[in-house]
Amino acid sequence: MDAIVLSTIPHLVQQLCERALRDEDLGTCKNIWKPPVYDLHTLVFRLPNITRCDPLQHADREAKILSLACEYAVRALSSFAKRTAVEIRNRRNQELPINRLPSEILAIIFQFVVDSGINRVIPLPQKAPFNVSQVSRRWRDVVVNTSRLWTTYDVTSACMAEIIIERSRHAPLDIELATPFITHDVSKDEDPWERTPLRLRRRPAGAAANTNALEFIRPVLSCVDRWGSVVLDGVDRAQLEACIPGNPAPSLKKLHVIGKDGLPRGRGAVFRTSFFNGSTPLLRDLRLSWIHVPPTSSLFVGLTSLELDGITFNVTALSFLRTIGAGCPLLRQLSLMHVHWEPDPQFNHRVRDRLVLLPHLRHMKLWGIQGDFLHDILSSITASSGVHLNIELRASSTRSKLSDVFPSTGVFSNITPIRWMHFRHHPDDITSGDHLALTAGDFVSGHTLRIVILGLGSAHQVIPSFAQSLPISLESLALEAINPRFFDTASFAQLLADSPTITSLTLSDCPWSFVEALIVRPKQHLCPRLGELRLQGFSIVKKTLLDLASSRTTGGSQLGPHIPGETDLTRLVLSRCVKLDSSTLVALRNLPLDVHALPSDSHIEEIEYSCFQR
Amino acid sequence: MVNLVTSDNESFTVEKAVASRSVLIKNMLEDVGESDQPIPLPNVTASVLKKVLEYCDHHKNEPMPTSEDLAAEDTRKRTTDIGEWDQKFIQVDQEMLFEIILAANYLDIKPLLDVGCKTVANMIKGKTPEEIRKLFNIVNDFTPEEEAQIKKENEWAEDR
Repeated sequence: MDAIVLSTIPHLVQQLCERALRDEDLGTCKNIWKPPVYDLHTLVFRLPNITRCDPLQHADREAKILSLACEYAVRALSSFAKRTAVEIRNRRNQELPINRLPSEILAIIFQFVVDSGINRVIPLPQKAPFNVSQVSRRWRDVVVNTSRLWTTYDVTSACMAEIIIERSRHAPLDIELATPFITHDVSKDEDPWERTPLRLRRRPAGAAANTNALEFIRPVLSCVDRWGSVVLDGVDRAQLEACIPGNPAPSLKKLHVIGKDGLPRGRGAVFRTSFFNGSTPLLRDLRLSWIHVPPTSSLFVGLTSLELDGITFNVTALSFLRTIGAGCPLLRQLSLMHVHWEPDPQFNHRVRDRLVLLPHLRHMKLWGIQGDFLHDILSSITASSGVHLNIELRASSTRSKLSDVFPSTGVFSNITPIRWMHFRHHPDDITSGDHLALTAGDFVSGHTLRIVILGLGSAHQVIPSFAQSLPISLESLALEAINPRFFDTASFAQLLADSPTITSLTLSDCPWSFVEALIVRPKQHLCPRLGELRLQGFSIVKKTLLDLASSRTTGGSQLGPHIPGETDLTRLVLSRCVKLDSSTLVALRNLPLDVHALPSDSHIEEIEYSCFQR
Repeated sequence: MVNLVTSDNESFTVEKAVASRSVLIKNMLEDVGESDQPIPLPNVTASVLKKVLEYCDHHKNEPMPTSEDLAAEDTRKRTTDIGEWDQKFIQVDQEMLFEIILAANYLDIKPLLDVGCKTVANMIKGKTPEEIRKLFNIVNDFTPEEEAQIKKENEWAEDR
């Protein structure tokens, strides 16, 4: 039967279609092609009476067979029509511009879609690679045969575990029990400092929060050898015990475990030391939050990135750092947040033994660390000169003076001198009270320093402390929203007196007395090399401003001793200043001074530092 | 200066620094040495090469991606972010977009290939299969068996 329809139907359909093609107006064919009416007199349908049964029986049989055969022919025709239509549609798709792209380029495009952040939060029908695998035969063929597209196993795709395991073939799996709102998986191009600490984020009532960790991980427990990265967010201790198996994980490069916020912090809550049977030879990126793993664990070996949050160690900070230094000599990123150690009463007696070499360290983040521990860490580690430091400290967490927390030894002894500093005061933040942020860096090695002091009291004169304890050779200084309660005019003048190399000064929303202090007088010449002054958010006092500008330009009146050979003030930028009338501007512009009065709705760009004259 | 000849026989004379953004052309120039001979580009038409050269000219002073950069890209997740100028540059119709991608692939200009692929990826991401079909004028060409398999996958996803 098959052989008959396979040869007849295509031929029949081909002939009919070719005939139809010859019709001038194809659009009307459907209506003009009426089924033919067969003439019963000329119809010669007869089946041979093979069994020689009586004619009546034979006629009944003929009718039955006719019915069955025609039914079969109709089904065969329908099948042929469907297949042929699919083939035509497939041929049509091949002619599309997008399908001129070779398969390897389509695979690159799909990889971009899979890797994009939005892909992690959308429902399965819109999620790659599932959505692109259902577009067309060619796309499906490319997608199904590109194993790298199938390596992500997360909450939204967990229902497709078998498909993921099968189609990812031998590629390492990226397992993620988390929602993007609470993971900190940043690409290498992003600034790791911008990661917001977990404690500041709301845990959404999303899939991850409601998913049973063990149920989630069970389908992939059989292929631990293929685990490439694992992110488990919001797991409790029992779940974690079940989720991390005792088998080796030879492909595991990244492990992020974020315990539930309520996990106990005490010493008794130390988690087991052996994970994956102690065999994670490729593990480079470890993050543990609220999971108490002792530093002797095999996890702390060979890392290039280590992030710990909310952990109490039963050893001193120095002992911890030594273990990390010995186990992770190539460490590039160290982030310690709300970590506690045992106090070390002997710390200061072992100055010579205490250096921990981390020569490859590029990023160090220390948040919520007690002042004493912070001092111990900063004075113990020696890192590269280009290290980026990010420190957040609560003023009340230190027993000593703030300046004593930042030692000139250790980390700070090795960095290149700071060329630019930006201080910004954030008044009365809802959660942490007043705080002061210092951002600083150089223009050479590119290192940066960010120190935030939370809960600042008026007794904390931290700006002069920083200037005294940090290695500085300032060229650009910016002060923003500075409150005279903790940085008065005398301290301001002293800071400038200690920094004679400043060429650019930015004052934004500061006391006007700071501006007055810049007037060159017979006995006071602060910032002798000042070439650029940027003022923002002031209520201008015309006389003071003109006196200042005149005293610092060669064409001005000789209010003060303008020293020949030293840089003149050549550029004055005024932004968001009130009482700045046109006569003041005219008077300023009569001086040999480049005066920029920015529109009222604009702000000084790159307020942190100015590259003026560089 | 380098003389490039397209498939439709149009000549383009460009700075060596611009032409050398193409690894293919750069290697040809290094192999041949100093020569006035035009370089034939049989897979690129004039209209596409004009766009490609516009890109190369804009980026001529940027460092070329190193083999380490390319190796690192293979291991990390890639973003679909595109620079401001590149975004404006790649605002072309679909036909031209795919031709640029093909030309970037042939001429071995990895950053341009990435811009093109990211642009297409941005068009696709977050869309259902039907929306993607509509976007690229693709029709459903699955066989009944494939349709059944897809239906099964979708039911599987809905059930769990």
